[in-house]
Amino acid sequence: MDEFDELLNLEEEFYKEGYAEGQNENLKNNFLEGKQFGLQVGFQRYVLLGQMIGICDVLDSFDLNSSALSKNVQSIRTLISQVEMTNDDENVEELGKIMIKLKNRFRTIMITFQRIMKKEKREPFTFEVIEEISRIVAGEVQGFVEDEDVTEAKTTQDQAQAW
Amino acid sequence: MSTDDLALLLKNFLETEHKVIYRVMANQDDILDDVWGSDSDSEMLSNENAGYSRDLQKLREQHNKRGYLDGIVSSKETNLQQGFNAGFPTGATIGFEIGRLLGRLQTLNYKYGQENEQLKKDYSQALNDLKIGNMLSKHVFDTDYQLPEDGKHPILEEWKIKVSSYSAQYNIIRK
Repeated sequence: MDEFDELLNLEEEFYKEGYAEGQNENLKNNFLEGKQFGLQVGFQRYVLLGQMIGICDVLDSFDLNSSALSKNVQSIRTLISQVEMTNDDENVEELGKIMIKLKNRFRTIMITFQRIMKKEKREPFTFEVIEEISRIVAGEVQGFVEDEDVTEAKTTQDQAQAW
Repeated sequence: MSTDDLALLLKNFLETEHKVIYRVMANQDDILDDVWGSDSDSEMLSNENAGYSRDLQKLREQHNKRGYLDGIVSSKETNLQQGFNAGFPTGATIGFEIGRLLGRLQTLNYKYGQENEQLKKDYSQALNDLKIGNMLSKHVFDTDYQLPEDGKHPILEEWKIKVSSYSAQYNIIRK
């Protein structure tokens, strides 16, 4: 082989060597960036479901004398028990469908509950109030997406510079 | 291949294969100047990694870096997705559990908050303590975004205890 070819091969070899290093380096960094983001999105997506169950727990224990309300609470429990906590495509799609039913039914529950409690003077406790709590605790999903992108860009850049 | 690359190659040739360098140089007058004009005592430096000459080290660095950057881009999407799927169920479980605690507290506070000052205080404290920023903070998760070894979230555990004492106090049936 010509020595010149040999050096071209060497370039190729160095390139491949770096390529493998880049892939491995980022295997961990990107995995962790993804993981952090997955933790956030998972958290945000399930807070409201948890709130519904928590509220049902308490409503079940109050002596409210409303068969309509008990029936709806039971149906919330059944729907939520069908939800799985993974990010598979089917589960995400399924959760979207179930969420619509849950929100409608929960709105009804809170209206019924308010009507029962009307005798006592209290702050309103509507589904909108519950959703607002969810937003306060979990943050706006959109905001976190943007923050995450900024972090990612920085990280990759830092890696390139550090090299 | 750029002129710089070629210059590097030529310099390396110079150290090892004089015959070849003369042959190539005959057609590369501009490079010739570069070769002779630059750092002429290019002695072989021992590299702890490879034992390459200094010029070859430079060549290696250059192409290795190019490969490294391409390697980063190529694996990015796959790794992000895998990480996302790994973190999602943990985040979902934590989100669901703190939601449940808040749902209980909010409803109990609605009914008994006026007569139970501590309950009212705890509810507003919970709204602050259980925020996503505190729950997913780096104080709780290690650098690999894992929970402590027992798999338990300290803030969540603390609030589970507080809420379960209210649940007992007000006869909440479900555990």
